[in-house]
Amino acid sequence: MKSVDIISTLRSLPAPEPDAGRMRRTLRLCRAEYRARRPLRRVGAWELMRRQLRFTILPVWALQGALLLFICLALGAARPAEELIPASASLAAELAALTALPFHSRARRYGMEEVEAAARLSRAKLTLARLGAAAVGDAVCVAAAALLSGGGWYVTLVFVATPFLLTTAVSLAALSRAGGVYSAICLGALMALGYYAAAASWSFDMLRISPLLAAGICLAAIAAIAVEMYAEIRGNGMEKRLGYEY
Amino acid sequence: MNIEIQNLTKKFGKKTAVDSVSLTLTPGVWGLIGANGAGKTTLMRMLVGILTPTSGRVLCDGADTREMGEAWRDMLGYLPQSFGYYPEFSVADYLDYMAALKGLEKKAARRKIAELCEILSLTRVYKNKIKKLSGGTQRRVGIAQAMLNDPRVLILDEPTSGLDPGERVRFRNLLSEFARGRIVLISTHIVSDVEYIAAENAVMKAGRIIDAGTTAELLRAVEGRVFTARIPERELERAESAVRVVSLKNEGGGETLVRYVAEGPLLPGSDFAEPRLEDLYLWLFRDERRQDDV
Repeated sequence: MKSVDIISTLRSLPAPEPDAGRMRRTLRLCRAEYRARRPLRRVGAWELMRRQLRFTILPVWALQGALLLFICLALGAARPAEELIPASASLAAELAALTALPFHSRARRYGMEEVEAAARLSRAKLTLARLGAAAVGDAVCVAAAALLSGGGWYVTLVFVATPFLLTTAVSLAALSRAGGVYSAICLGALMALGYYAAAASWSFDMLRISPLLAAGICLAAIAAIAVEMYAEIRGNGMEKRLGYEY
Repeated sequence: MNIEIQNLTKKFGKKTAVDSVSLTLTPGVWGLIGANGAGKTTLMRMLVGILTPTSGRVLCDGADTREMGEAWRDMLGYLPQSFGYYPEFSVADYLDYMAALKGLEKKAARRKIAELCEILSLTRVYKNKIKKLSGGTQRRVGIAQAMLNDPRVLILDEPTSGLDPGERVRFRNLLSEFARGRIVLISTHIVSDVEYIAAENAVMKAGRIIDAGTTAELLRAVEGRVFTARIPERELERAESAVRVVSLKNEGGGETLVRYVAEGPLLPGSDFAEPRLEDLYLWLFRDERRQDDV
């Protein structure tokens, strides 16, 4: 028998009328089940940030606030010696890149990862909230360094944005591959000193770098940071951290 | 409510940590018994969604827990085997922090925290830093966080390790009461902890469930295989190498009461003994050598 014949035969068969009493009982049971369900209280991003503030966000902001003060003092002190301003701005930007590192992956270091991963609010939301808060602080510090350096957009690109992004990319990569926060901080600090030394000695030569090249370096660093952030949000490598080996 | 585990498997390369486990958990206390490396922790981690199964699924009242997402995690309470905490946290900070992660509204969280601290005798140490507490007290803090969101499914991995006997009894009583209308899954090496309170047990070996059922049903496997014998102390070493000893008790007068499991009475003067879960455990894992046997 062809499918189309089977279908038309089935359609032509008389269907039993629904039992009104059964329908009412089913509806009553469904409503009872629905009322008995455990209601899921909506937790918005703002509430999440607010509840996380005391524990994970304020410490980062406190460190970034101290850095902001340092930036203002250092760049203010560097004003008489104008040739030191680009180097000081780059140092400030690189220190800004390092401030969030001690707080990065704390859950992993202190064995909280499992219990946090099993909690209702997803790891991704939590990580995003923390990264977002740290990014706000970083943005304030970097903006302060850019404004106080007094240079134009190109000075900001070469002496603030590029060192900030490069240091962030390198230290995050070191954190996820070398494993230790201290090695990441050391590597970042070495980069900061290296860039500072280069900026102090060759600031005029560095200003001759093609804007496209500088922008390209920044974009590459942003891409590297995005990859690390994505892995962090996804919780990649969790199985290895829990002791499982492939 | 029930949790249906369907052919859950977890592989790490060539190694299979959990091998096609199927089990239906119903309200009550479930004991998950097995030796180290049996796959208990891996199974629990898959249930709570920390590990992604290689294959298989977990259904809660017919719904796939992976698709349920937050709704599933909202129903869960989980205490991992290794309990971590941020070093600056006091008990109050930790529970507040976990309450926030579990999406509890602040006032409700405070009420629940106060209630749990009372039940778990944490009121006196509420303001203390967790790092300064004893292992047993830290464990109680871990249990408190697992119960914060009034979970319908409570999964506890070795919850009583570090607790003294009095604390273990209180904890068992708490779980028994808590388990009414809820599912509580406990994995433990301290078999007596589940013996008194678990309505049903599942025994895991090499990643598989080898047996499951009520304690009475499981103990049929060792019926007629548990013996006691009073032997002179000088015979002890020979007896220990000949049989799987469950316990030794110095009776004085140069004699020791040996409780052991074997196919038949292997020691002179053996009497049959009423089997317990500990006997079953040693019988099922009799091929696994203890470290001091090597």
